Amino acid sequence: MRILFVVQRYGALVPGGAELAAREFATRLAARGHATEVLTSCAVSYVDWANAYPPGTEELDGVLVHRLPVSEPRSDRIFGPMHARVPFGRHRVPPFMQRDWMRVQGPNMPGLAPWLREHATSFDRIVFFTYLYYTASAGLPAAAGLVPTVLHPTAHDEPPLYLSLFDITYRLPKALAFLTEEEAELVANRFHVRLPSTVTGLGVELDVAASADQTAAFRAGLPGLGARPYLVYVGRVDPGKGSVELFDFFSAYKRRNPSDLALVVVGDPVEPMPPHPDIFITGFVPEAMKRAAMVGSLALVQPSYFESFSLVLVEAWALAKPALVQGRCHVLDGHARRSGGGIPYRGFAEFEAALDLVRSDPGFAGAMGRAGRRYVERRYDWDRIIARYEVFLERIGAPAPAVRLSSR
Amino acid sequence: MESDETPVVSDVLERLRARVEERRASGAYPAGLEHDLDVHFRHIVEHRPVRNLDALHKAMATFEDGLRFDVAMIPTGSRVPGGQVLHQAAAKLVTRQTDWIVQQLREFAESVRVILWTMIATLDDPTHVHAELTAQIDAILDRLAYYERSPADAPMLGSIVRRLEELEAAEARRQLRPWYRPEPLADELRGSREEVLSAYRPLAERFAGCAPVADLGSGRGELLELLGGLGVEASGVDVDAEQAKAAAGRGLKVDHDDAVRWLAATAPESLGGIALLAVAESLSAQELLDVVALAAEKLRPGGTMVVTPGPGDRDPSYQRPVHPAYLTFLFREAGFADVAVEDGTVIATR
Repeated sequence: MRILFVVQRYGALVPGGAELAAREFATRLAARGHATEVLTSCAVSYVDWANAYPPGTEELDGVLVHRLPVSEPRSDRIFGPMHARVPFGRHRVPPFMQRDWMRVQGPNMPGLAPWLREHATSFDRIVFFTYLYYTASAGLPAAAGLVPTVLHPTAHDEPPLYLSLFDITYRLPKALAFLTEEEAELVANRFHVRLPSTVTGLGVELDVAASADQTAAFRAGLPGLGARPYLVYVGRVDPGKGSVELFDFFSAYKRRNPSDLALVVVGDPVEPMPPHPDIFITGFVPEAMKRAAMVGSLALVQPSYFESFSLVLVEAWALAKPALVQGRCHVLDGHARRSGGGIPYRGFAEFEAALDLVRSDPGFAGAMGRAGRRYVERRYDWDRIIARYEVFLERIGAPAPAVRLSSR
Repeated sequence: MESDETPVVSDVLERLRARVEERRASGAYPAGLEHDLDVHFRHIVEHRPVRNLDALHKAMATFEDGLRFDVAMIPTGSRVPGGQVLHQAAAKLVTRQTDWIVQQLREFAESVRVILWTMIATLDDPTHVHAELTAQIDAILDRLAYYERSPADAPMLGSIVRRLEELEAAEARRQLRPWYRPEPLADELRGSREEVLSAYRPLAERFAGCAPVADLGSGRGELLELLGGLGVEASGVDVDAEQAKAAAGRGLKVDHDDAVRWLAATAPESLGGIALLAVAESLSAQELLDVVALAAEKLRPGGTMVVTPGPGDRDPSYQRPVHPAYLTFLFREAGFADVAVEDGTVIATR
């Protein structure tokens, strides 16, 4: 099959869950013999979408990547107030204002729709990643009808999801692909769409571990941690990720339950955090060090309210670590209930009780970790995911006839 | 717990929540602790759509407070001496009636209260009131999306377009697109320029006094040259762009256009003569009919049209023979006053 992926950013320098997912799918399909290409922007950062990569075509891990320039970087001076008013405002705003918000949010790529109209019919399937950005909002109307299209929304329960602008975005593709059952349910409840769909999930490496030396080296790198037991949080330190709530919960827990328990934060803070004697922040660390941090922990804490999958949680389970997860996030709650690998807490009292249980009953904590591992083996092995995905792409229909109305 | 037994999270949560309730009951959580620690969640999720029925609930609370119907609330005081005693006595006399009226009011108010709460409960249910409207909006959105991606879902349209393209390709194959220059062929078929000038001179003289004259398919422009020499105003039209350009380059008034279209755009009765020299056999049957009908319309009374035969099937643009008898029939049917045939040339007078 000739498959085109359309995503807002793409490349080795690009972090981000949805972008990483798009890259994994594209690279792995290419490795299985599909002619896989990507249409994306020249941007690396979603904060301003500044052109960082040169425009044009390059090959990356067997995938042909076409980069189009972003016409203008995003200006916070304009976007900030607009963002506060449109998705976060107290009142509904008219469609034209929503379209302006989308254009300013970006990445604004004037060449995207013409490129798709010209080249769409040369592909068997076109796959869009992330509903939120211009790439899907402008790209889907251009490609829909010319070739079967798939949208991976990577949606979570956030304010923009409720904009009427997206009512049509979710109806244009031929099919939808979700990361979890909860994401599928969220989209069904919000949009009432009746399209073919699948739950793909994301794969993780199962043959990974960390040696005793690595875990020791990790501890040694954090002066003051020593041999203390610790909870680990992995990800951006950002209020939207629930990390500030975790700091407050952990601080309150330590005040009420004095012990040598520590919290290790593996990730970069978006804003500086006040120092705390029991909280250790590593900043960005290499992948092996991240795994060592997880292996050496008592449990992973995933406090995010907004997740469409949570790769970190699945990675921790791949390492057979138990987890405490935000019960107010349906995706995390669903993962925990299906796997038996984590406790979904709601509010401080439940967090405290769950942490007490994990600390006081290592046998139970170990059983949760092993259950998590079995869950990941069952559902998130890349080979199985891609094999199922190929069947899904085949199933959503033969390519449409090449329709070109003659100019004569 | 067995090592491979998967924990049942709902059971674990049930036990945890029971433990939390015990702690709450024992006062383990200081007042405000849980609420204060929930501040981030409240801030994050305040975008989620909620129905603001606060004002209605407040109004209902006021309504509930006012639902007190009691005989004792009827004032009996008076500013007139002895008035209060009188009121109390009167109230006692009608006690049975006032009790009955108050009872009816209570029952009525209760009925109203039940109805109002039912209405509020209905409004509180987000799916109940607007279910039908929501379904209609969804149906419209579905249909809109269907149209947006309709080509993929309309194989018939794709098949029609493919057929159209095949027909266009076939038509393009039928069109004559010579790769040679037209002048040598004209020399070959019709003779040299001098020979043609000599052959056309008698025809040109026929148009004396017929200005303006239109030469349909003027080619190299020999007739126009001759007419110019005779002082007869004349213009030509040719479908071959290069021929038209070359003739114009020699100072002749020639348009590049289709002869039928050009003639149709000419004002009625504005021409004195029309020449169709060695062209009629290259027209389709319908084009020939159109030219004759248009000539009848565009020639003024007394105007002349001359049609000569072409080189026949030696000409690659040749389509069919046109017999002078058929042309005669056409001119007569079109209303020309006189039609004559001289050595294969048809001369029709309007």
